[in-house]
Amino acid sequence: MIRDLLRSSTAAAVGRLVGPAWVRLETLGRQGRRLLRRRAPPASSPLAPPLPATNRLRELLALYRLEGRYGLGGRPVAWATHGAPVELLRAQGFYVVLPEHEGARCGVRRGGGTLARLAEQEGFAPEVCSSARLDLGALVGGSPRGAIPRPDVLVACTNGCNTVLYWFRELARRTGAPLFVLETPFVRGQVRHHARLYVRDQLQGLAERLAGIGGRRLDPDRLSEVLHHSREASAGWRRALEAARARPAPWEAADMFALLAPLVVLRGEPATARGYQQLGAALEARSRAGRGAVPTERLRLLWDGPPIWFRLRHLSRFLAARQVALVGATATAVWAEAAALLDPDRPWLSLADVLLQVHLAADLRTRHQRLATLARDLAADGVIFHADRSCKPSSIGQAELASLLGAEGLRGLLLEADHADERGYVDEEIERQLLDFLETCG
Amino acid sequence: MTHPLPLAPLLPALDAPRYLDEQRRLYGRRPVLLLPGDAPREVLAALDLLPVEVWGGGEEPAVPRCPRLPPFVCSLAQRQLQRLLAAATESVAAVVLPGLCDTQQGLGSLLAEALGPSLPVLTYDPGISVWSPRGGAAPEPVAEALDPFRKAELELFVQACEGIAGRKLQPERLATELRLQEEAQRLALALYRRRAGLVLGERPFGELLRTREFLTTADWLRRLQDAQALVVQASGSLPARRPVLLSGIAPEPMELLDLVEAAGLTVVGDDLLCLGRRWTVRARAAQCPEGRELAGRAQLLRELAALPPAPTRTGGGVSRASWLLAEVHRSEAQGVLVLVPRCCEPELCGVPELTASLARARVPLLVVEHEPGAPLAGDLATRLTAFAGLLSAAGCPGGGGP
Ligand code: SF4
Ligand code: SF4
Repeated sequence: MIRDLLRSSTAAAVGRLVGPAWVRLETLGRQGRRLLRRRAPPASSPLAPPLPATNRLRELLALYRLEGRYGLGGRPVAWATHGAPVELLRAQGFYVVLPEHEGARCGVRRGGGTLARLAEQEGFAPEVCSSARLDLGALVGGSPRGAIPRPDVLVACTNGCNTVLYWFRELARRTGAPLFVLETPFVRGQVRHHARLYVRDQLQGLAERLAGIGGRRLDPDRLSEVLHHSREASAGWRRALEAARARPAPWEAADMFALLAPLVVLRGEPATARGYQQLGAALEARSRAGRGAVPTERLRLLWDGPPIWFRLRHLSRFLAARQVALVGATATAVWAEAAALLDPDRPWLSLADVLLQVHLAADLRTRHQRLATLARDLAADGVIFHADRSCKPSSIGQAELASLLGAEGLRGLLLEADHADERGYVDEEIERQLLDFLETCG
Repeated sequence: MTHPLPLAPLLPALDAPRYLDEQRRLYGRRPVLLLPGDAPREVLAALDLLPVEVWGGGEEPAVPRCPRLPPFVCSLAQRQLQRLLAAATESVAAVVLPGLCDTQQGLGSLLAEALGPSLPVLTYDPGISVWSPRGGAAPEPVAEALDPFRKAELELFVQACEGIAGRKLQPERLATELRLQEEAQRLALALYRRRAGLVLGERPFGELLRTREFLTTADWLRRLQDAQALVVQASGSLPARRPVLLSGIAPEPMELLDLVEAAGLTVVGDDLLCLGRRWTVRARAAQCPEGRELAGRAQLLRELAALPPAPTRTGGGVSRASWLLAEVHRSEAQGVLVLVPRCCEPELCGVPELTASLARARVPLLVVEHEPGAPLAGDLATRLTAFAGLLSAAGCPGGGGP
């Protein structure tokens, strides 16, 4: 009892007092370092510096991590796939960890190959998705991503791919936590009604199982409230993405990918929704002032497929140095669609719709329509298709998409790489392909 | 001592294209191409359509990679796509996509885009596997939601097939088809059980079983019956061979089975997607004997739901290992040979767990990567021989001789 009290008061202290102060200090330190760097020759980056509004979102994430490390206070922990119904978990009081997101962070820091190798030593073939290998490698070898809380439950949703099932089954075997699977059928054309009911029924079943594990029955009002905040966050994200319609675009894809994380992990929190609305407003202000991420923007491109996490900024800078801005990406744009789908008054079916209408589970026609619309909205001149060796659902069909869009006058480049495993990636090769492509764009 | 007899001299040779042509001309049965997975092919057959499965083997196409797919996608899909695109010009009634894996889902999208609307592309989603070795569903939310979903999928599939066949599905025709399938599958299993005494090479035996991929069920059954009658009369004996269970997608190229034989191994049971992994009769016996009282669509649904756990059914873990071990014991195999197509994520993901489970049960295992349509690796014969040696050294008596 006393231990519980102590634990929860420590959690409260971390959450309300120490955490924010610590994160602020971290942010100030980062800004300071950046200022110092700016004394370097001005040619150091062809990209405009990031907006201060992005700090708020980064802080939210940092604070959340801190909470996971020191301030859980007995709160149950769920490890979930990035397409899982985070809103439901949040409404039932779970602290949510997304291993794929953690893997991406390792990828950014270029630790991917080392971790992947550890998983390969355990028998996982190099052909298996690197997100899975990185995460399993982190589990086997101790993670450079810092201690993340152990799971009380695992939730895998198949709306991105089936790989997550094999991956999460292995996590279940290694952590001993129960695994719940949500299956979402592949969508060809319109979502069929029986598929919606199938997902709805699973969600309701999941809520019951979670109550058994986390000890909190689902309060329908709380779920509606979380969905409301989630919808607001998604709407804020849409607003921010739409700001890239301006010429020059006030931000570009490297920041879009980096700032997607709070939406993926922390949707459903009011602070997240506020953070994205502020971001949208700041970007609009920046474009009203005529300032762009690539100040001398000449060419506007889209990115299809997962980012190459370990070369994310480098590629943006490489393109920006040639007056090219990546003004949008399919993987970031789809997260804005929840704004139109989520309905707090119809929580189950609308949540089912969000889970079903994931880009990777859509047929080629839908993917084509999405890309064509995005290209039109953002006045893009071409598309870079990242043919991600790891992600078959994303890379299969890209050649077809490139030729379909090519027929509509949009240029395309297929760039083969991996999103997180840096082994085999050669800068010169990729840059040569990019240069050849840019030449064809004029 | 005589050497294994190939089946060809004992049975009339089968020329698949000629067979398909005859079926069309004489009985009006148009082929429906089936991609790998758990599709209710009995529905097609009961509507007098001819289910023809598309795998990766055979000579054609000569080009190993399809430019419409990235090079890191499995060669099975590469070859399938090339074949299916070529088939669009032939008189095929439809293509069926059972959504086996991420690659097949993508392939399906490409096909629908490339072939439709000139050729109907039907989908059927069998849902996830929730098989548990204790029988009944695993305690997951998905288990409870599955039945209505599967029922709706089957209904939609039946409607689409009726549209193509231009007639309604007759319950008695479906019942006949289910009965014939059961009979044929039982006989195939019986042939496996008597494998040790059959004077028949590994490759002809595999080819015999795989004629299911394009024969009508009645013809497949007849062929199995003929083979059974012939081989039991054939005299001769085999050198002692080590019995193994074969797992994976499909033994392609089929010369792989020649190497298996040359190494002194014999396949006494299988967990191949192209064969036993989809034989409903075994699943029914193991999991839901009450399925016997069901009929027609309900029976079909029950059987499809009870198919054993496999990586291609997103089923793994304890249930997969215990299913496979039960098969090893039932077939009296001394080891397991797993054929993993290169770049096949479902099978590759299953390997670590399978290796651990079989090691715990002290069942020797050999994992072989192969590529349908490509020459076999130079060291494969040596590896297979070493595996046979391992089985001998483990003190298992050879099971191949009569
Ligand atoms: S295959 Fe693609 S969607 Fe699936 S885990 Fe890997 S990167 Fe994510
Ligand atoms: S070989 Fe594997 S990856 Fe390829 S289609 Fe078959 S199950 Fe899918």
